[in-house]
Amino acid sequence: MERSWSQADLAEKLDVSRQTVNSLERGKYDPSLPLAFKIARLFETSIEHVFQPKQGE
Amino acid sequence: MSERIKKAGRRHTVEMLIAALLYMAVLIGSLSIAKGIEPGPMLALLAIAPVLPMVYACYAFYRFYRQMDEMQKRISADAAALTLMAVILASLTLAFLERFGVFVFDDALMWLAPFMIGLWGLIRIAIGGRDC
Repeated sequence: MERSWSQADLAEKLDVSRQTVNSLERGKYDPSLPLAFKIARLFETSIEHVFQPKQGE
Repeated sequence: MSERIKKAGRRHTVEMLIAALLYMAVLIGSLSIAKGIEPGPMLALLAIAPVLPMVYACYAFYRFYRQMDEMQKRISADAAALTLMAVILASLTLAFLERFGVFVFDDALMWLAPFMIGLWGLIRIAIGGRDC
């Protein structure tokens, strides 16, 4: 799933702020279902492959 | 940051600047014209005239809010909820202090809007960071 995109590139592709990309990467923000689908589609994979539930969820 | 959000941010900054300048101009104008006018409809119009630029500011902010991404919206809404609670507590505290004759805070309502805006901004930075 590796891409040579910067956070700014990803933010542009997802139409979100760079801070949102940063929070998503650090697991500080859980995206909505539409954004999660958008991310999965961008990386050409499934949502489950990108996001895993935290322990106990 | 996406170009669309950047553009919305820039537009919002310009619109807020315009609103602030209009507010100052209308306020100074209203205060100077109102000096020689007797209480009545004309004075009422002059008194509420400075609110009009703030209507524009509110409209501009709402449009900006609609253009934020989902995390920015969440942070802004969380900050608004916390601000609402703080304002409820502050207004109750001041009201009881006044009711019990401890002290009277003159023009308390004049300070409500700046207090809310300032507090909302600080809470937003505290929970979301400066760039949010």
